[in-house]
Amino acid sequence: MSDYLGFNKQAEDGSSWNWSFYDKIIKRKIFASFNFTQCYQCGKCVGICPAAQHSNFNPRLIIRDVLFGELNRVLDSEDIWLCFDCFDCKIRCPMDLDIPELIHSLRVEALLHGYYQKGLKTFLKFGRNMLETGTTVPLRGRVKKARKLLGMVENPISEQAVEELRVISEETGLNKHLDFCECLIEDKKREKR
Amino acid sequence: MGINGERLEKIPVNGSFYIFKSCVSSNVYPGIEACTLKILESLGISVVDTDQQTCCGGFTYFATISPEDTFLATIARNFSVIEGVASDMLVICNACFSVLHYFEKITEGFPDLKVKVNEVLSKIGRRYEQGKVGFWHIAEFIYKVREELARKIKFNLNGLKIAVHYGCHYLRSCPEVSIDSPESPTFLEEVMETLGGTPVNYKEKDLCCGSGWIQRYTARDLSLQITARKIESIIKEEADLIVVVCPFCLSVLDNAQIELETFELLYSRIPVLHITQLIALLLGYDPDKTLGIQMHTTPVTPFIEKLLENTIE
Repeated sequence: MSDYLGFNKQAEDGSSWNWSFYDKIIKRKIFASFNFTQCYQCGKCVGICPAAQHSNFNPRLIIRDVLFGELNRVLDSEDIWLCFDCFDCKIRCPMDLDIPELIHSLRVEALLHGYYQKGLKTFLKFGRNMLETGTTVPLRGRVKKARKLLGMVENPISEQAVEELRVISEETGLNKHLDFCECLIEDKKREKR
Repeated sequence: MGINGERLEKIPVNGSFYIFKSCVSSNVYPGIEACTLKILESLGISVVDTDQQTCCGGFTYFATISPEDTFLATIARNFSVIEGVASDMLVICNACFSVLHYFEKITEGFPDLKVKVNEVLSKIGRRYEQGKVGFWHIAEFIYKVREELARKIKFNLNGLKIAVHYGCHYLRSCPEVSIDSPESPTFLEEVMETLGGTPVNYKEKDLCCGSGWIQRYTARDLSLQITARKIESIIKEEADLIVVVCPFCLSVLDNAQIELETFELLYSRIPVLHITQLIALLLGYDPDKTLGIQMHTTPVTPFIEKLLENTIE
């Protein structure tokens, strides 16, 4: 598994920094809050982080690994899936770095490279529901009854809206992505057997 | 930093609004939307509607189950739908608000993304133009009209202790458009005071509700530990009610209590209401037929019983 994408080569300038992984992960470089080279490892993000207080999640070490190009260690670790996306770190970061956005980019990268994600099966259901009904959360019988009592229409999303969403999804690759996720889940099942 | 006067000034209080539909609100706690309608009605503000809006798409994107292009095109489509019916919308969910703001920030920074989403939208005969629809969080709108609401309420919050929870995806994730300081906001406490209540100052005010977007599904134990810390610190201050401004926070704080009790992480329970539900209740609307409290797993009746003693003659 190690270095199978060839990212772990030493940087051309001879430093231990690795720009190829960094460039891949940090796409929106024009925003100052995405300039992670500004991180001076103060650890304020770890001190305030709710996930760090109850698990091994450590945003400071994750940033360091990204800058040093430790691709496999970051993407293969369960830690990147533990961020609460609460933005406490962002508003307290002295360099105003958008750590939740970095974590999200890492999650996308991990998924695309086939690192399995816990909970993928549940999310797949949400994704399929979005495609079929235009909303993430399925509408259950009990809620239908409540909506009626509250004087609301049973389903606020028209068939036409769902159809338009379907066209958009086809056009932008949602269907393919959902199928890809399904394959990942199947692979995992086979591995277990 | 305090209140952002410039933003407060801009929030429209007349004309007509579109209410942006949220998935958890529509399909778990429909009372939130119903209450928002009643509040606007009592203020004499008209509401327009359309059945063309879909889910904001934020959850699927941030759970990495949807590509970025789908996510951006879905939001752009919703904007283009809404600009046909209204020039301002009220958002009742933190996540929707945060997602709409994120979209505007990203497409402003990267104009090529705007071209890209419009290419996709052209397939369904639509077009997105930036800045045509203004969007405002229901909490900041309520803050602006708090005095008027205080004159209209039939019950007040005298003698009741209220714990407010701001949620993560509102002030903290959108500091560019936040009405109050993202680090130490106080505007919801001010609303509670205006309505006669006593806001409690609890230790874990800044802490996430425990949802963590996906942690409620992927790391249940971790999520419950955070929720327990949050609720415990509120109960310690002897609060009568938790008020939230996000349906997802409501869902977590309301549903997790029964689980926490099972794991013996919590020994008493506290009702949770969305701010729109609380205000509709104070305006005298029916708990079942407007608030939809039958959808809550933690009973709201203990709070309603206390409130009944506070009738305004």
